[in-house]
Amino acid sequence: MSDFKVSFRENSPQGVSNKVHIMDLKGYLDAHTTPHLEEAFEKLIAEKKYNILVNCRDLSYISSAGLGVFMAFIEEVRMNKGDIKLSNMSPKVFNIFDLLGFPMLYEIFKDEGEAIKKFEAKT
Amino acid sequence: MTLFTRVLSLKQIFSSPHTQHLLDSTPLFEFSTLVNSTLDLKFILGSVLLTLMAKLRVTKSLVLLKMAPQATLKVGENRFRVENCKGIGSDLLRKDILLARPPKKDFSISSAAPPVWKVFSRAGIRQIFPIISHDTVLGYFGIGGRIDTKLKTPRKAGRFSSDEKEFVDIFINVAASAIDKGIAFQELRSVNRTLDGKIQELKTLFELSKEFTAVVDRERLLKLFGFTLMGHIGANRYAVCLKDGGVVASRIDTSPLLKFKEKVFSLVTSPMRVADFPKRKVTAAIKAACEAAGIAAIVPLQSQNEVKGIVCLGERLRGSGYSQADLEFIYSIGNLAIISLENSRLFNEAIEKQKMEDELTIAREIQNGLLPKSLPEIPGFQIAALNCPSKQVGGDYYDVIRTNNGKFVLAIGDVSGKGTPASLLMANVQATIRALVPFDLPLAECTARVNDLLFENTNANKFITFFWGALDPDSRLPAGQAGTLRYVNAGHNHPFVITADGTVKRLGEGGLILGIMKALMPYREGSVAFETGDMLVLFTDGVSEAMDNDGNEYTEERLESFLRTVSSRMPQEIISAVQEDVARHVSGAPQSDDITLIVVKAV
Repeated sequence: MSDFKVSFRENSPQGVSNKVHIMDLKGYLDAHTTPHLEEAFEKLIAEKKYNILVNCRDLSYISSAGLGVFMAFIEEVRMNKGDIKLSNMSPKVFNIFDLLGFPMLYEIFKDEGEAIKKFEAKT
Repeated sequence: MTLFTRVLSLKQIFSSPHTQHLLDSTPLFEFSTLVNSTLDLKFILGSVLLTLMAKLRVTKSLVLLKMAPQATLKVGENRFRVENCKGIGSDLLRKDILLARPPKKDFSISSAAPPVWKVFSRAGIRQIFPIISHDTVLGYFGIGGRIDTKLKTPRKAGRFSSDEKEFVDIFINVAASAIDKGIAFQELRSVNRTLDGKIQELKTLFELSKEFTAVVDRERLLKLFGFTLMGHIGANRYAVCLKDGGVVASRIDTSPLLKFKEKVFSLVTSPMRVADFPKRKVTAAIKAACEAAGIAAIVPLQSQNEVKGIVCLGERLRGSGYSQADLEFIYSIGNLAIISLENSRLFNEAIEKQKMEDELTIAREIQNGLLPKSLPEIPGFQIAALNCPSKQVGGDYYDVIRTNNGKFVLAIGDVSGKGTPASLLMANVQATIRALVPFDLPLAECTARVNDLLFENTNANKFITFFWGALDPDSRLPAGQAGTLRYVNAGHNHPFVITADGTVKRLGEGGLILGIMKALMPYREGSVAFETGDMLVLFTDGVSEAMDNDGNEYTEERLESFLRTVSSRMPQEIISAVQEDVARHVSGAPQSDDITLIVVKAV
């Protein structure tokens, strides 16, 4: 069976009031494992954590269903003045995001640090 | 133009004094190397435009490229699009023109230009040069707006000398092969991307079909379908509406549309953009409702050629509309989803059915356990009984109990309801009766007690029609007399007593059905004496109300007249005969209620 894991981290450098909540995705995100990502987003949103950075360094595959999860939550997150940003994608994973037009809808960064800076710049 | 002739004409230009100024500072070969070193079409076109502008001292330039053929074009028509322009604003960028016969020579587009070129001449473009590679027109460069202080008259200012034109021709010729390659590369890239897109679609289809088969949870199926939908089309507004399940998934308010549910289902038999709805009166209202709800397209969910539901799609977040290919893809995954939803429904139904069957088996077992395994022997009497439960398992009950002082209590009842609840209530009745019988209390009083117990311990909608009697087979009676039956009938079908001479009596003395209310009035007791040859027939409404396929009941009248014809026989034979006659009446219709019969005969 395909394997997929989400783990959470927080980035709270000194002087920054708005924490960035980092989700590390690992493994194979397909129709079967999609509910895990859904739960992860639900958890953060329930805790009113809206600055969400998804680090895709260890993500080996993402399917359309997986991308759909991002679509499902983006509105609520942005309505609460947060954002979902993505970083550290492998070229293969980026290609799928790109094919389905996601770079027009989400900010995708090469590196986690850049994304965090973007979040900080906002505050 | 072959490379050889190109080099020849270059030589001529080099040697001509008129064009020397164009070339002396122009590293033409360097330019050639530059444009040929890249496959980036945008860069190539930009370089050509800038170089032309610099060399000819013009302020306006543009480039048109031939577009891939399209189904909407007439035969022989070619579409050209402005790919890049400089000095004329961006209004003309991506502007398309149609040319029946694309010119292969350069030409001026001043006032007398053909209408199709007017738009460019108005923008200040004066001369158009074809880009030709392998004898095919790839596109055109246009230039205009020359600044040249030496030429005073504006009329002349727009003109280009033949040397200049030849220079541009050569220059474009040098760039043509690079442009050709750039176009080919761009096409290849777009083909590749389309292919990647198709592969992604196939992967999604494969993944979903695999996952859908494994999932029977309806909620999960719908969620998965929704995520795939949103991910694939880049929209976060959609709704799924099933023909016989209402709106089952909704991120869009479909209420304006639901007024037209039936019409929508018959209208949308293939994926449709709302903008493409056929222009009819009926659809105008639906279209308006869709627009009010923010629905951009509707895709039917079909299984076995029947529209079982629809998916309403909101606008895509990245702004672009839905292509036919997008809708076709959603149609495919939608049909996968609806089949799985149907399967999930059938699966759940099968489970429900299994549960019911299991429950019925339990009910049947309880009921079987309650009915007497064997009947006691009654001196001077013969007795036989039949209980034939229906498939649903009704609440028929009968019992024959010998009391401590040699009497026999015969009881028959019909508990309201079916299945396990009826069986449990029946068990209650049996326990109560068996507990009361040994006390040898008067029947009427006992009936009131049973009634009150049932009333207190059950809901008002639970009740029992009940008849019981205590048969006293008295051997001391003179010959011909067999005994007496004292009885109470609590709302049960009146039993028959058919005497040896054919007289029929009905035993109705008693009171209210058990379990409806507390006994306010005492139950009345009836009594009947038995002589040799007399028989008592107890039955439930499963006999008298046995229905044929047209809904005709067997009726108590028919039972009575049939009993007369068989009254000379022994109880077991009578029961079999009645059973056969009932079977003749229903002629194959399924048995809807339990059938219970007790026949007691004085012999």
